[in-house]
Amino acid sequence: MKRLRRTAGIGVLVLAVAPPTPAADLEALMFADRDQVRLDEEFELTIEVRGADAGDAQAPDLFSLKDVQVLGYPAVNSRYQWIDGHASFTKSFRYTVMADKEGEITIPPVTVRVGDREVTTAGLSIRVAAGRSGGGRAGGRQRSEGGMPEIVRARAEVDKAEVFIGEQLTVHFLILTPREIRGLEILQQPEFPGFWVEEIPQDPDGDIRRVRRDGSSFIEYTVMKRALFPGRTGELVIEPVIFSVTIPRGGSDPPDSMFFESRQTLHRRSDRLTVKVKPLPAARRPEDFRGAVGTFRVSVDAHPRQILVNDAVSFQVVVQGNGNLSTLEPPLVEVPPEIRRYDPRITEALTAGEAGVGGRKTWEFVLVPRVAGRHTIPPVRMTFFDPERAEYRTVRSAPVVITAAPGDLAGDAGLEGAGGGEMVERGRDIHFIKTTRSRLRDRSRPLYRHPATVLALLLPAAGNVGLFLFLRHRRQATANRHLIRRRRAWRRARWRLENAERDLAAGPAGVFDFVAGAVTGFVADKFDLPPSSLTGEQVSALLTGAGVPAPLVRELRACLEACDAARFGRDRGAIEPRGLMDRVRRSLARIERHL
Amino acid sequence: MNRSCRPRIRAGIVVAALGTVVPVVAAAGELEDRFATANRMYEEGRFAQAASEYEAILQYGLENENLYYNLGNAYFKMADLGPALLNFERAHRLAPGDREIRENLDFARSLLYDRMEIPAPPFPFDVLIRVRRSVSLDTETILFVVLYLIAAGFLSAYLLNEGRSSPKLPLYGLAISLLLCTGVGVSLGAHIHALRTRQFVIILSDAVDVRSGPGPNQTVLFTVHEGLKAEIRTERGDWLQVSLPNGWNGWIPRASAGII
Repeated sequence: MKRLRRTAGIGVLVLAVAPPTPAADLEALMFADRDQVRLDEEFELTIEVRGADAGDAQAPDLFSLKDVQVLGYPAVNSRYQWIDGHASFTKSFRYTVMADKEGEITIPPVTVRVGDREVTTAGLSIRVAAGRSGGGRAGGRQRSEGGMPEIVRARAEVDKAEVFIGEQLTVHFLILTPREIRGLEILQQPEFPGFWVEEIPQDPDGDIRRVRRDGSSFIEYTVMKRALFPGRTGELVIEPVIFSVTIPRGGSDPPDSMFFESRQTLHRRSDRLTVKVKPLPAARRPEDFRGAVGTFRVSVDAHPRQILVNDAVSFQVVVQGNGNLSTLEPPLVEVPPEIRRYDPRITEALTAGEAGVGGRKTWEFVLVPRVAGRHTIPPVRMTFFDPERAEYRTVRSAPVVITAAPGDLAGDAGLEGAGGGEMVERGRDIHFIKTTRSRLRDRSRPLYRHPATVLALLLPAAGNVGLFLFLRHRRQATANRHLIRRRRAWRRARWRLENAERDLAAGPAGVFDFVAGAVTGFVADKFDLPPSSLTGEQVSALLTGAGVPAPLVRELRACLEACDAARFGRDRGAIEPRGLMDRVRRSLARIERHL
Repeated sequence: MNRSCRPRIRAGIVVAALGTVVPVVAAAGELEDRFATANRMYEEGRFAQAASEYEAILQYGLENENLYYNLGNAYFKMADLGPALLNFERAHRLAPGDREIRENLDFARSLLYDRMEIPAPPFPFDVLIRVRRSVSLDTETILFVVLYLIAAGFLSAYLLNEGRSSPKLPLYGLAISLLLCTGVGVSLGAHIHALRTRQFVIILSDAVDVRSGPGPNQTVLFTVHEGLKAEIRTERGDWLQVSLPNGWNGWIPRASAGII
């Protein structure tokens, strides 16, 4: 009877013809295979596109529809017709769906993309009656003939609905059935946008247990488990998973069921879950926090710890704990500068279980001491956010001491340098900084380009050139004075003789002084000498040395002696002054021609 | 030009001159304050912050051996050997006679990964080279100027005493001072020429492949490591051709090294 009713129901099509769309040659219809369904009953919803280009229609996305669950991908059917000389295409997308609530539900218009155009159906109303399981949202087309409803549910469950960014949460995808399932297929894989995902392995013997939900007894199958680490804040969505579940059909006759098990396949979709992700608290966030969220501890090891300079030491930093170790940044390792550190080799040993993802991550550094002595590697520290305590924590390892010996390693005693009060170098380091304020002088311009340097080079050179020019000028001036005196000697001698003639009018007393002065003055001028220093002998010697003919020299010497005799001798009146002056004038005139 | 405008122009020039001088003076005080702040950070063990502060002072265009020395120390304490050596070398260039700079430089060099045997020059060239390298350019300039002034003084004395009975003392003094001045001058000239024509780099990356040509597709000849000093031979685009003290040479990316 029920089968008949269902068959009849299939024949009842609720058609909703779309109003004319911009694509005039296209039309879209949406219809269900019945106008009234139960809450736990699957039915078919078809979107059909008609028109010349209907073959280009793409399956619409119905997964976001409200009030109905789409239980799988659509079955696509294309049809070609030739009516009254016109070709027509029809393409239909048939979805298996299930109502989500009782009463009158309205499926809104659905838009189908056809090539670069769009065509929209009309909305569709369906009446939904209560399910047979008494309101539970599960079931299927097949009902057991007995009292036990065939309720099959798909569920997604998270252990935390609200987490910090980076905090681990676990999602379980479950199938709840009244009897053991015979087959299971995942039609739509889960998606976790915004999460870092780690798969939690399934129990190979099956993760099955009997549970009681909503007063009914179920077998619960855990189909998959994932550890999720949110990578951003806000509300993140865990998309639903669609399963195809095959279970034995209930109510078969016992003899038949002993040999021929009747089965049915149902589609179920898990819920779409929303997880609220909170940012990490900004207050009291340590400076060295590098994003680790979870609970960790850190330890270090080094071997060997006693080596020669330039030998390698394996230094391992191990972080163990629960959290996203895969994305964990290396802890802060401060190595003394006299030890060279090479990039680490990173290994992970992760375990994923019910408690989440954990394990250990190792950074193995190669350290090479370059200087002999005891080198202390300070504690390695790591800061993380503990979501359980909602606070930042810092853990530290123990310090490690590496002893590097210079040259050949002569036993441990040599390393320690012990014995006899001998001084042992405990370590080496650079000198301290220079802290004197006044020393911060700009040295960007070297001194050789400084103007003062250029002046220091130019000024002495200029001074010496000036001095040289001055001295030369002075020498030239001196030389000119001698020349002038020499050239004027004859003129000055004549002037003196003329003065003597004028004095002669007053009396002969001083005339001979003037005449003698004219002779010695002439010679002194010619030789640039002081006149008073010349004697008669010197005059003779000078003139002879200058190449004056001896008779002339003797004549002039005779004139001088006559003057001396006239001035100082007893016969001063015997010498006639005018004649002497003439003799002197003639002698000087002749000598002048030789000098 | 209107005569009445001239006082205004003069006043403008004075204001402009003050405007350039006063900020420099003010900046000098500010720089010394920042230097003291950076030193305090270093003393407190905040090496990264101290290095950042020293670098900020360098942005003013200031060159100072103490600044480079302290910056090198900060990088050294941060275990950044390359930048530490780069700044020690810069400090050493400005003050080669500074013992602390030289010893820190030697200590940092002793931590280099790359070691190479360089034959020492024979005696007495090794002494001369050591003396020559311990004298800064400025010291050499001062020595040259002093000798030059002495020679100029002797020349003046010689000129003034020319033609007199005892000109020999200034002449000998002039000859000796000129000889010394020429020697120092040649050395100074060589120093300046070297500074202008020879440039050195310090490798800053952990390891750099030295290639046969300026490009990532060229053959890798050998690998050098952080802190090694090399001389620039030529450059092309983002690549430098460098030679090592042992004579090996090749091309490295410009970004992997810092010029001293």
